[in-house]
Amino acid sequence: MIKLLLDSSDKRLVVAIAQRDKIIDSVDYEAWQKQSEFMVLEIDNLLNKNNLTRKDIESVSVGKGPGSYTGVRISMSIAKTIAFALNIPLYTISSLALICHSFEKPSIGIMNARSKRSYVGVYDKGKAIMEDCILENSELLAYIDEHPDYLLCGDLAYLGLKGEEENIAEELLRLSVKENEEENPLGARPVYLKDSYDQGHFKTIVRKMLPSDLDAVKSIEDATFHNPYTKEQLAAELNENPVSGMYVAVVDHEVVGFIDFMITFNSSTIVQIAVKEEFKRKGIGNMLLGQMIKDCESKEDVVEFITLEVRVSNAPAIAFYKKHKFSEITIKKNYYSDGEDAIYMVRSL
Amino acid sequence: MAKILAIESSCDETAVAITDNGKLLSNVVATQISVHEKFGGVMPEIASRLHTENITVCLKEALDKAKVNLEDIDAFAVTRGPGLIGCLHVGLQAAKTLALLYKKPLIPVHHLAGHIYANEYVGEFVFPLLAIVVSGGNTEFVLMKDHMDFEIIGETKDDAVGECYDKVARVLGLPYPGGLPIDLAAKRGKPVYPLKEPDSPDGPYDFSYSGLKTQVINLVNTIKQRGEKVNVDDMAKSFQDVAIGVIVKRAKKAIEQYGVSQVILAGGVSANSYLREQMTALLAGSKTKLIIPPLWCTTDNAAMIAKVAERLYDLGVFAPLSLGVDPNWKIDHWKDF
Repeated sequence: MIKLLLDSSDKRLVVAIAQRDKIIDSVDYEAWQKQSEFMVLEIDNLLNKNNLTRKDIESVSVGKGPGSYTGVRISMSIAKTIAFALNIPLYTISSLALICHSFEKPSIGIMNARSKRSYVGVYDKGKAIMEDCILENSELLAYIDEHPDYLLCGDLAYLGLKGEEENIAEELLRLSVKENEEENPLGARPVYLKDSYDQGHFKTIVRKMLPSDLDAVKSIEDATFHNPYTKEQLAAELNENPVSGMYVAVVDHEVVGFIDFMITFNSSTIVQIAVKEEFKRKGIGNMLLGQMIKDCESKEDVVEFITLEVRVSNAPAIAFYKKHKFSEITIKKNYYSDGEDAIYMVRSL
Repeated sequence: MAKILAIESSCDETAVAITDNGKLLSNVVATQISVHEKFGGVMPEIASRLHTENITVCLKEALDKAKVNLEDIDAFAVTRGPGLIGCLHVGLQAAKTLALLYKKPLIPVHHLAGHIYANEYVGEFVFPLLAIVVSGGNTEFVLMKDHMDFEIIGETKDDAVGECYDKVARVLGLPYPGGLPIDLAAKRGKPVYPLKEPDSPDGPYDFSYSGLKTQVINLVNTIKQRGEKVNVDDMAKSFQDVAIGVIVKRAKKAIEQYGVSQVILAGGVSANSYLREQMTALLAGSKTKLIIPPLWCTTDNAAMIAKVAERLYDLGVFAPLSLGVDPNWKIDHWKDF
């Protein structure tokens, strides 16, 4: 009988077979975004090569995350299907524990969570001494400084550090123990750690808009405005307008809002600000406006006030601006091409 | 013929079905609609997570209901595309894993071919056939001169008709998904609001729904600006008349041009009562026959995937275990994978 060991929670693809608590064969290579194609194929190859069939498999073990969302889902879906079909135990193990060498020394398992953050888990003899969590990279570096005796594990080039080489298959085998066995394999689910949408928690970052954001911004533009800019107009704002500033708000690699403004001498104008419908009323507009104010304040020539025009019918937007200390100055008649009036609003900085 | 287990996970339903010589033994669908309702649309990341949670539960239920064991299955079929990429991955892994464990063929199925072949549960196909595929992700006219012979003669160049329904529903304050609520409201309304029929962007059977959506949004805003109230029923009726009317009008033209013997409706929007009514009226007394799918077939399910898989099984269309998904798979490329 053999134990089947699987992991694709980060960039690698790991498939191994263990017999009598020893790895007898394995594959382990970088397969970023190719795990969906190759994982099942590699299992098949390995079983065939060793003259094994489904009847030889006594248990299946899998890295449950955190890590790449798609990556953890791929090996979890495979592992669950095997455990269900063969009615055998399913072991699900923290992907951070898998990159640690915690049976040698207390270890910090670290994985790049992008957006200047890391997944971090601290293990000793296979037991968590700090629960898996997500830390800002600055917090992580501070933690590392406080614990100089801990082994750093994982691919840490993104932090400018060197981590211990991983041996995922070995750790999968070592951690295939009772504590990690799923009681209800049918309902097993990966650990994502990041944003729990159910509870309305979103980690949002605001960054400068890039040309690669154009399609995403255009679709928000179309969903928001009566006379949306064409993609060419947006591209011109981004690439050619020397006084324009454009930022996007990003949740989980998805652009969910943007702001387009101009700074000319002592004044600044909001050209457009929009947030995707399902992300509204979550403070994303505040962040975008905040970024604009930060830009204004960092200019050498003092920017004294911000102006904008808003449709008289757009009550939510008017309320938003009033909350941000904008005052109604005047009505601009027939301002919009469909004849609607605009309210001209101003706030000082 | 054979026993086939089919898996569908292309959007927001996790589904497993088992057929035996064409007979449906079980058809399990775990829908996520209530989860996506609050976002007013399908959130791909959440949908993918739910598929991962549900997949083995659905497999178990389908096998239990069909009273068969995995050892008895002759082939495992799966939706390979089109659909949401993260969602497609989950069903694909499950199907590949089963094909690997039981050393049985893996059959890659096109989602829209599934919607078309769902109609085989209620009638036999007569060619040439025009399939009107209308759903949340697709709007296309597919001409079939024989089984598994698909030619796209027209398609939407922007939004799909179902997507347009969802967005208009949101503007009118109706729930998601928007198809049924608009259909119901329209029954009470009168077509009093002026909406222009969208043009055919390229070919005579192409569609464009983003303009119609914008027209509704602008009209609603103009009315509100005047301080008046929008009559939701009347707006729904005005919108539906145009949205469905343009499909019926172009179908009429295509039926004449291609000498079509049979028309079938497929996809989520084929549940729309006005479309069913108008197509029935159009073809009443004509030589061209109409098949309307049963309502259970208009939403995503795996029974329709099994239906196509039976044909592919007979044709010997099997995929290697290195099969990947294709979120943009075109129906006329169903053999390319």
